[in-house]
Amino acid sequence: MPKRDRGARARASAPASTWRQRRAVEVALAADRAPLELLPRLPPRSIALCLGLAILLLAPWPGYGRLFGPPFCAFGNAVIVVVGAGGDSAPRFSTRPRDSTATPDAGATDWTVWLAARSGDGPSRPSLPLETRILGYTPLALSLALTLSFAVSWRRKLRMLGIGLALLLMRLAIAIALPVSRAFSPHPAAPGPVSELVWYVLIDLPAMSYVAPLFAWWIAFAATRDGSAES
Amino acid sequence: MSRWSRDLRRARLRFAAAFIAVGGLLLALYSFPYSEHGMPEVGFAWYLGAYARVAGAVIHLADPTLRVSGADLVGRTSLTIAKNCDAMDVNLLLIAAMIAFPAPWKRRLVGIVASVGLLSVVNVLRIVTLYQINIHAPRAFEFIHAEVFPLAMVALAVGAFGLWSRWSRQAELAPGETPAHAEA
Repeated sequence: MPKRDRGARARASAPASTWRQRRAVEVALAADRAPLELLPRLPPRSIALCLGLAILLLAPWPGYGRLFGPPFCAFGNAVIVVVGAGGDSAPRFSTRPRDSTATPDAGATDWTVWLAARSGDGPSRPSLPLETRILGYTPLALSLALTLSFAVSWRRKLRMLGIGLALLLMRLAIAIALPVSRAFSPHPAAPGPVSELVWYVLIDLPAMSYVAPLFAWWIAFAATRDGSAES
Repeated sequence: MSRWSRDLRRARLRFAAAFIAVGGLLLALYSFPYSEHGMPEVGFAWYLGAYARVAGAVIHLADPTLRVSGADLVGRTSLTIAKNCDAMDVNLLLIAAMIAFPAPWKRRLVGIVASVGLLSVVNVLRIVTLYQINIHAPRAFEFIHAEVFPLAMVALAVGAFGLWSRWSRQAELAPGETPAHAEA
């Protein structure tokens, strides 16, 4: 007998919305109160599963960083090409430094990737190291843990994962494009207050790598639904 | 999609939009690149120095050699309280979430005061713990400082928000108020 997914069970048990429920949302919002279902119900099992997945994914396992480096470089290079950051210098990420002046062992970890100019008339610069763990891996791993542990149907989980990852990759694209543009500009100048503010608020604040996946998860949760059942 | 679902979805997205607006504004005020010798930077230096003195007073119980100089803690090891060491980013985002959540202002104020107080106490304990880790397990310092504690602070803030929103919702249903507003 085929196994019914959790969403199907929820749909089967959840009654259709009544005028009382609809009225409750309207009245609550009009009175500046929270409707009962504004925040999702998180059963202890989901919370425990989320914590377990987060610990599993974020533990400092050896080799994780080397696996994450190549896809990060591919994404970073795609962002540089699409945005045109760095201009004629054509900077590119790689998992090893391109020049001999930068020694891979100097403070580098499994999570370090290297950014270097490939061409152009600008001054020769050594490869710049970039730590990818907190900037790139941690938000994606937390997003995965949050979404997979949430008790909804697998179809909705996949939709939420798609939306959440898209939002986090947009943040990562900004995190790559801003400093690359600055570092490889042919006419280096002080960054404008707007780009500096965006950098500080969205990327540089330590809590943001942990809050961004939560927020992306919330947007994905609000934007999707599980048939007639609302979690 | 039923009208009920649509309204609820809009309410959730409205909460997200309000969170972005309020949180963005508060974080922009905090992170704005102020001029180096202007009043805001002088105020920040004083504030971080005060934070260092509070943390230093606790650390001093275990390490009598500790001295506080400006925002620097110097004893068996040294720590500097920098701009983000005050967990202000977590505090501001929690305040933004409470302001964005539909609730009366009185309950919002109670939640903000209680949770900012809690986070500040935990943050002082975080600094004290980091000082001890830097003495006894310096190799673990970076991982705990950059990964474990930020995640723990955010998790604590999320937990505080969850408890506050539940309390706020239950207060709506308390006797004396019309339950019809919440459950009709």
